[in-house]
Amino acid sequence: MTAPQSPSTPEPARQIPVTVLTGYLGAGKTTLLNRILSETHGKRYAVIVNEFGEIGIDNDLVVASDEEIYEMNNGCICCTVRGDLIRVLSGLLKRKGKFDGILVETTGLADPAPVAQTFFADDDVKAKTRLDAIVTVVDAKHLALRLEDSREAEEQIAFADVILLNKIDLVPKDELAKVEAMIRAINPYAKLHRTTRSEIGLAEVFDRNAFDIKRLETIEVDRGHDHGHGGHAHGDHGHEHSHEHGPGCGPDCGHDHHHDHHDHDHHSGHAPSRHEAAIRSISLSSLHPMEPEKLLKWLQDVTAGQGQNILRLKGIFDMKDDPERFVVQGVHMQIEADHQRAWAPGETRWSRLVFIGRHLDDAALEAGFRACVAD
Amino acid sequence: MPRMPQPPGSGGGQGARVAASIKPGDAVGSVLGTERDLDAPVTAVLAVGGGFAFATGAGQVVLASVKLDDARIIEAHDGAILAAAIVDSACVLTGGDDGRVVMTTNGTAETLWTSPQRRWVDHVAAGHDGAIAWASGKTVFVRGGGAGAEIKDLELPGAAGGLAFAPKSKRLAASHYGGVTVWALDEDTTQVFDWKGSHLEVLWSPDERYLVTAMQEGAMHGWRTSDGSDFAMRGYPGKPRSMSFSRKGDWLATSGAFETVIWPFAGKGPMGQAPEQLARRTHMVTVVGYHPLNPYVATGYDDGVVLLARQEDRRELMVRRTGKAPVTGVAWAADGKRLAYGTEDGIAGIVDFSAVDKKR
Repeated sequence: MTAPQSPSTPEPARQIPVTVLTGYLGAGKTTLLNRILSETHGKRYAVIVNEFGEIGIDNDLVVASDEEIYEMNNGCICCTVRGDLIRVLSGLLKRKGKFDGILVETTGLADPAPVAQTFFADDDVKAKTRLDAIVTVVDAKHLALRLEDSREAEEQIAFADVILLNKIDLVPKDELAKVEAMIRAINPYAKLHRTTRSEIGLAEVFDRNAFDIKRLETIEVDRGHDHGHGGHAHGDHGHEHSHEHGPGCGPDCGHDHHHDHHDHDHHSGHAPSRHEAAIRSISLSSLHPMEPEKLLKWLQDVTAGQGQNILRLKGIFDMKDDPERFVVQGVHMQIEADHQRAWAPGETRWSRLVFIGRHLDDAALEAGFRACVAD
Repeated sequence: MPRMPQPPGSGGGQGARVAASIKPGDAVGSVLGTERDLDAPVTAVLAVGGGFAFATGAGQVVLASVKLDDARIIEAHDGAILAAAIVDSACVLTGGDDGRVVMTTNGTAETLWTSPQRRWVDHVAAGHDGAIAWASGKTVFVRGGGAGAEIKDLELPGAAGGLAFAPKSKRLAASHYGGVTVWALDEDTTQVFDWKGSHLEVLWSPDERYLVTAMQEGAMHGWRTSDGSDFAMRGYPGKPRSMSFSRKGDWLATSGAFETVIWPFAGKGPMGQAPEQLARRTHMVTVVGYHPLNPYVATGYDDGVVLLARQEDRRELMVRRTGKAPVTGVAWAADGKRLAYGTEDGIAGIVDFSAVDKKR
């Protein structure tokens, strides 16, 4: 049934930003958490951890939560959410006094997707909080090894909006460059910081608005073409309406492609070698304007059909006969798209799109994208 | 499987007849009630003794009979109260994010249990003969009600989504991901009513013939307890979290839509039947509470409005005309003459309808 639109959608400003902290075991997450809890920063952050370990249980801003993965709507990967997070976030919102932010620590072995999807799937969570950024702590010394033996380590990088390349003091400079290249091969657009002992300004971690398509300013697709930074500081952006396109896997999710046998065959049984199943990114760009109907239809088709393999996507588009930038971001099948702001005078108008995922068909995606270029 | 038919146009709108002393356009709450700002979200509203108890996000239990100015405020928890229930119609049982279970009796708060790891106590329940239960994560604890004076515990397959004692028998229902576990306390045996998905609040029908749950997936689910046959009640645009049976158990009112959705439970139950819809507005219903005697439903919305809807002729009486935040709880006094409500922005209200009745 079609629901009437609730007129009481809260303004984004009142939503509490939630930062998701991921990272493989021993990468330095706990160090970062302890710093956030112990430093004087004048902010009130609630921290949701998987278990009270080295984090004090006497701190009432720390909440332990057992990871519980819920499959909604009969179990497509895109409809899995963290049920415990829905509960804990709802509980935190009952407290007197508001938080400046909430930090969710995931286990070293966690797939970040259900955490991210929780913020799309639950109405209450969506109304009162917003996913701000996924921050991944990476151990510079052990990354190469981790990527060989752990699917999760790779996914954590793929999903990241901010990456702390930690323990750089333990790695020679030339090796560090190699590690960075490995990260960039998986995720070309995350903001990367080199750190030791997880030392970083908290402003680099909190309130990044990485999931806010209104704030999507640049995507580093190809440095050669990337001269579209003009107008960076010119803020906002007339439009208030946000549209969710494509098959949102909310309560009404009715996808019948969840059990695509072809996809399942790829994942079943033995772990595939890194070369076959490695996560990587595909960057597409065009200096010619795009045809809006074609592009949206294509994006919907691609995410509906290959959403299981597409971990993240981000795009900024120059649409034909449109004075405004059009932006898209997504996690698996969940995609959001909207007009962002007018192209600034003198700003180079061009389109760029990045997919991060597994088994991506470069040629098909490239061809699909090209077909959406306006005649 | 019942499905909701299309919404019937605009719904109500005609105000019910009220006393001559109330000017047209008045909301009865502003004439016959009092409100008080408790300065913290109201997390539960319950009828207790001759009055009401409001639980808050600052750990307080606020006890009031009619005038909220005279309310007694008891500091029960060091944090938010996440769940509350009334024991023997006199004591307030609360669970908090401070990991404690507290019983407030005659204005005195006593800690009954503390989580060793300071885990939240998300749910509490009270049964007949002073039986109490609470849940912290995946573990359910019970005292009394056939389980004995000692605290007994049960591990669920997932975290508890809701708890409810059977109205008559010595059984406790606990909902979780994948269904409901019913714990027979005398025999210490369990029975699982399963259905895929995440089950939140759980409720028994007054005659124990049915168990119903409100689901994360924007649906209700029900089981016939005699044979475990189950049915889905779907079509909600939101999460149907508040449920209330009519006095005889003929009807089940639910929140989670832009009207109160009422499922028929008389006779053969709701299977194959369509629900009634009451008190439609452009705002989402967040709480419902059947009048203890008559087929009226107190309805709270996500914009803070409270109204009373009469099922037979669909007439509506505006109780609270405006607000800023969702209504989080409603409760009727046992005699049905007073109604209390609470909101997410900390407003507690009590309305006395006996004056309306007299002047009619």
